[in-house]
Amino acid sequence: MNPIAAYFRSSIGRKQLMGLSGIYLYIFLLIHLVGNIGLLMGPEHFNQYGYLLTHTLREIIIPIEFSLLAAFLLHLGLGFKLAAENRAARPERYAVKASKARSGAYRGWMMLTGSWLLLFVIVHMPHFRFGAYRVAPIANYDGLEMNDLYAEALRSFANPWFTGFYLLSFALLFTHLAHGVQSSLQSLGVNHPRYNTGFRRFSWAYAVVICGGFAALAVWAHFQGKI
Amino acid sequence: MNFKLRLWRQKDRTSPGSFQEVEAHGISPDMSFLEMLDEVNNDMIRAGSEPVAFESDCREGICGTCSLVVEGLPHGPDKGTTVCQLFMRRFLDGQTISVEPWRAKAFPILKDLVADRAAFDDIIAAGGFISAKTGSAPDANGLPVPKKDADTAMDAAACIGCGACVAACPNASAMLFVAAKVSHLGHLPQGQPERERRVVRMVSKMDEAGFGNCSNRYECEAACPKEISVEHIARMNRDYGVSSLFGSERVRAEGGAG
Ligand code: FES
Repeated sequence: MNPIAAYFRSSIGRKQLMGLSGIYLYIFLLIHLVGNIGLLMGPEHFNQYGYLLTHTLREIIIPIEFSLLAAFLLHLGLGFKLAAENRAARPERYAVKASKARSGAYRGWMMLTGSWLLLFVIVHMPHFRFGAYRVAPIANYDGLEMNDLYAEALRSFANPWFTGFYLLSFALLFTHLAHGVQSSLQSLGVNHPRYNTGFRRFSWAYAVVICGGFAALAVWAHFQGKI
Repeated sequence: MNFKLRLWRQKDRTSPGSFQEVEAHGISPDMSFLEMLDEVNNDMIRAGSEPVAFESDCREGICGTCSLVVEGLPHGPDKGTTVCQLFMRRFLDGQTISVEPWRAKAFPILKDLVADRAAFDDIIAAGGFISAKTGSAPDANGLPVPKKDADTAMDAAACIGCGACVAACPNASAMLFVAAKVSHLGHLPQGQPERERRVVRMVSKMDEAGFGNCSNRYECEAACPKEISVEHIARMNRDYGVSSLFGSERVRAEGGAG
């Protein structure tokens, strides 16, 4: 087999692709979060930001969106494939199972939390990315008409079930990132005794910032929408 | 001391296995786990039943032959210890102790507590060697090795190939074993000529044998009787990526020793 093809079929090659696509997705999350903070600056700012992405910068944003979709599908496809292989690698389970490692159980939940996040994306994308054109009311700034995403966000988050679903998803995203960020680095071979504690802390800190940020905004929108 | 043992009994590769409850009486706290099993086997032989099959050789923690999962832990509850060096004083009098074999698709169970670890031999044969001229030994100082590299290579070379990493891994992955071998030879000047070929071929043999994929849970490191670090896995990941994508030779996966 051609060495490059062999790489993409090997266990390590696919783990490295998982890691790289994961890194791409978590960098996107940070940008997404920064954009969402615009909610705090009021409807005009936030809606203009949405307009900027969907109209003014359309030619740049659409290819980026496709690359994100590709990374997402790759990450998810490989995740399911690797998990299935891992199950098959031990057909008969241990009757008694214990552990000497002091790593949290959440590290074993990647499949579970990942599947939930897939569900989340299936709910979230049609709503705020595509559905907004249909459901969102129209705002008008100096004669420029655009979707009032701000109003739509506040209206949606006023529903406690909706907010609850988002908060639960962020909590699961948290455990996914807490293991994933560090794991992706290890798969790519970034491991050095001098920096390992730093990586572990970074992994946690990143998860705290991302999930805490999104969750805080969801709670804010919930109470803002109610009033 | 007395114990209630639950021993995994399995006739052969294909028959389904199950636990057999056996009592161990009059065990000295200073016996090793394997000596305790010897006693139990003696009792069974005297009683006319078939003794339980398990593997051992050196019984001093250096050969890697012994391989028992004791109470869900490969090599038992002690850190950095093989099961032949685990002593009965570690347990409570009257305790029930479950004993299972290594479980992995790549390590089929031959009988009772004996798993076939030939997959590791195949991985070694695929690249875990160096080519050196035979003849008289070269001068020890003829080939300088930095102290740090020598130390890291030695840490990796401590691997006794017992397979506890596979047994402990939630995915039955052999990454720690293969990484130890790759890292050991990769740190020494003698290992450089085959460095790229070695990592590519050993990893491909590992995948072929049906081991799982690493999900960085680090159970292997915790279970390893030689406490080999997962740092070696990261190094192998790095070496593998670089060798297969940017290597100076086009390594084919097949091939190996000979
Ligand atoms: S019998 Fe040799 S290491 Fe246990």
